[in-house]
Amino acid sequence: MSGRVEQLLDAAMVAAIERLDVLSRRQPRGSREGERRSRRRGQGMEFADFRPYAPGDDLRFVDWNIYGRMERLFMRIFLEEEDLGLLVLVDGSASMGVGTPSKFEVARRMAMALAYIGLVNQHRVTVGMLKDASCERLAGLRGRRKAGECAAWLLDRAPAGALQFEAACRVAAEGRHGRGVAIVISDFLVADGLDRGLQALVTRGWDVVALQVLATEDVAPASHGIVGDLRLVDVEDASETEVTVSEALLREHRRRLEAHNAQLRDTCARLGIRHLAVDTDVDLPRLMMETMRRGGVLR
Amino acid sequence: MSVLSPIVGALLFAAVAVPLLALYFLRLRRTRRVISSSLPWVRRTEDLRANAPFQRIRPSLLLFLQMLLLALLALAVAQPIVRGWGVRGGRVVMLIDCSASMGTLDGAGGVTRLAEAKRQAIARAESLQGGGLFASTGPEIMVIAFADTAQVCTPFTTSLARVRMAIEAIVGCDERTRIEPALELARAQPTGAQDERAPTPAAEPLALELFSDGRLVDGDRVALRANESMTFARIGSPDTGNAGIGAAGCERSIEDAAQVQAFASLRNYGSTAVDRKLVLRSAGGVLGASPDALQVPPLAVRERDRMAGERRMLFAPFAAPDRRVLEFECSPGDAFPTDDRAFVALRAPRPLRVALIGTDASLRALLDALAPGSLQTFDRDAVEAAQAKDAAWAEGFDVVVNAGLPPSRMNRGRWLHFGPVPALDGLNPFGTPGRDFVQSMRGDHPALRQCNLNELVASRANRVAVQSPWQAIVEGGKSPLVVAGPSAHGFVIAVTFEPGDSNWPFQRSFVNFTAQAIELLAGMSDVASDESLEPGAMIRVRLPDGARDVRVTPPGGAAESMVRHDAEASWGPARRCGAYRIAWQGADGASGERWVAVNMLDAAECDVAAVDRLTLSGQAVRTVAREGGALDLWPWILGLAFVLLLAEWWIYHRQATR
Repeated sequence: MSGRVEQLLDAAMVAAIERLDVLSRRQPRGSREGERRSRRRGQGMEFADFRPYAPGDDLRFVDWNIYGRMERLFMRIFLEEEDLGLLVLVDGSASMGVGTPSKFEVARRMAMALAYIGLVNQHRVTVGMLKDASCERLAGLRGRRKAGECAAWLLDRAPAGALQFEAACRVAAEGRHGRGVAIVISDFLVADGLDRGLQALVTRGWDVVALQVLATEDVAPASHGIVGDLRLVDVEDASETEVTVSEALLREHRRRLEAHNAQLRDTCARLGIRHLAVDTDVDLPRLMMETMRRGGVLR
Repeated sequence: MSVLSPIVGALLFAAVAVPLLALYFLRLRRTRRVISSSLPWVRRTEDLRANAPFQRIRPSLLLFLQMLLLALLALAVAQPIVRGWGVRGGRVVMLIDCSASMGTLDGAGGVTRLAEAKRQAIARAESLQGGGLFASTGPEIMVIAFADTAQVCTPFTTSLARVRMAIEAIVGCDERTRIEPALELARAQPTGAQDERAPTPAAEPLALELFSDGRLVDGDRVALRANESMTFARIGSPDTGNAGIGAAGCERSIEDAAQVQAFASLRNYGSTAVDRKLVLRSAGGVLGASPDALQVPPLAVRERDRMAGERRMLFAPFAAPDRRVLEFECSPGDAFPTDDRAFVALRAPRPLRVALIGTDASLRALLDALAPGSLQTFDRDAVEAAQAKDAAWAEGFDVVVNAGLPPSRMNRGRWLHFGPVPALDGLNPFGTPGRDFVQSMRGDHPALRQCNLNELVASRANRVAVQSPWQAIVEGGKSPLVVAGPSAHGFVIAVTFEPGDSNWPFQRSFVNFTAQAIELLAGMSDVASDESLEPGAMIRVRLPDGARDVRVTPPGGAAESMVRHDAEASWGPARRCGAYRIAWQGADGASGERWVAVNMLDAAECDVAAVDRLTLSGQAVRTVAREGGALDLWPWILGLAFVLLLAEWWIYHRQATR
């Protein structure tokens, strides 16, 4: 394991997640043979069905025992083993840089862990960074040996800019890397385009998982010194909001944040998206081994 | 609406508004904190603190409310008032009616009209004199109280305290209401301004503010001048009625002087008939009474004339062999109590005293028959000597019949005169005597009842021109033959010829005329009752020789000394109704007394309905609202400001806790 990977995942973590695999609620169709069953009949090892012989069929798959009993040619059909497309999208906007540790740091480690799981299981892994109105991608990763490259790519990224979620998601969804599981790691603190961005991924056939990461100061700002007379500066659009943080205002903040999260959950439920919310204090091994398995993201 | 202290209010507003606005330009230097998203945050500030110099002013409900609150407070300090009436001038004269009708109890809360007038006048003075907390000067105000006469309560002054004290010191009286003396006083008073360069009072506007019920007896005889304006604050209700005693008197019987016949008249000035009871008392005892329900008809209005309904009452004769005061009382009482009682001072009985000047045999024979035992005959020289010794000699007789004394020597008295006409005010002799006969006569005159003068022919009738107040009661073909009237000489009935120059002594009408003339003149003397006066008149009494320590005791008051003029003493004016007792010590040490009754029997004054519209010589006076004083608005504005303050407090805390 390269040193770059170790900067993101320690050895114990790696050892723990090597036994995991990404779980897709759909039967994806990969572009090459992989380790997953496919609805596509083909040259796999698992028998699926019979069908009458047609000229041009590969005679190696004729069931000669049936022909001996019935004097008719039937072809044996097997489920073809296909690879799984895993798209791990990390919100690279400036808002992810907030928190201690920052949301981006946590998201990067989570993305590395999920990509590593995909690589170990010979899935076709793509990691992407949602930024502004586009998506930077590192595609074509397969196999354990690509983990270092993936880690290096992630480590070279830093949060910056204002994310246009819908536009960035559309870019990510319209890539040529096929369909599979798309895991979006973000704080989802966007005002517009949240549902349309997620819908763009779903429409393109991705089995989407929304992994929401919030910093503790997003949830409980008072405990991080956000009290008194402040000028709050939005890290993405630099807009300023003058506030006098009082108990009443904190209650209002909590109410609005919960309303936003509830709207995100509703959108996910409506689009068939699995939604998990964690904060930056999350125990990553426990998240992988318990929470995400229980949530049907990993197995 | 006007503002008493506009400058103070504006200064306050400016002094506070600018700093208040400046505070809103200050801003709080806030700590800058970077957050993930402003999505969950809403702008909410409590700008109670500021530590940075400037910010762009933002629309703020609190600022708006605070500025509005400040504006209201400044307006309250400026003391806006709503003036019901009157324009402030340089000089204001308050004319406060304190006459008898102002004693009517129809004010709010059962107070008299005078009390209501004083209250309104004080309120008006307070509004005129600034009245504000920060005002210092106002117009000069003079207060005049008037009834039949007028007096200056305070000359022109800018001192509100003096004006208030002067108004509060005004007391009512039972006199009638004449505004002319008040106007004369107002015009005569110099301004209190110390600046010699100030315009003369005549050229300066004079604002007259009349507080009265408008029952002026001389409203048609006065007019406002060009520089004068008048407002009329009507006091009292135009619907107030009154029923009271309109006349009262008594006569001793000719046959038996100890027997007295009393009579009275009830008058109703209300629009509906009323029932009254009339009681005659003396020394606490009841001498007579009317039925319980003596109905008095209502007032009759014919164009501008208001004719009171009248009911007369003749009491049964009663014995009164001594001096006493008769009191007539009308019950039940009403809003105007002044005329509910009347007094008559009844003298002790005594024989008629008649003097005859001259030697006319027919007259002497007749007078001997009419006044047996009381006739005294004088010749011209004796009378002149007596009058030289005592100018009031003629007043010592009930009647003086003159048929020989030159008219120029006639002093004050009650005269039945025959011969050359005296040259008195309003009586102007002219031409030479000549034959004349009767053309017409006033048959309703008390001296001419039952007289037929158609056969009367005078061979030497003196000619005379008659002016008011004289009346020609018998008109001849060329000149009046008999005239009558009051004058400085008392009351005179003058026949323009001597009986011997006519055929009159041979006619029955001569007897009737002479008897009735003597009875009329004697009735004007104190043969039956002492003098009865109207309120406001001076009390004058003729005293016995050597009388001293003459004192008068007003009704309900303490004894006061009277002023002596030779044989006469005077005091007054007697401003209240009632029986005034005059007492003295005689030369022989015995005490003597007389009574003078003062009664308000004036129909114009007893009609207490306040006038709807006051006119002075046809010129309408602007009537102002009853509560015409200035209405202070600042308490209402302060109340509104308080409500606004509560709203501002609520909005502020609602925003802070939301």
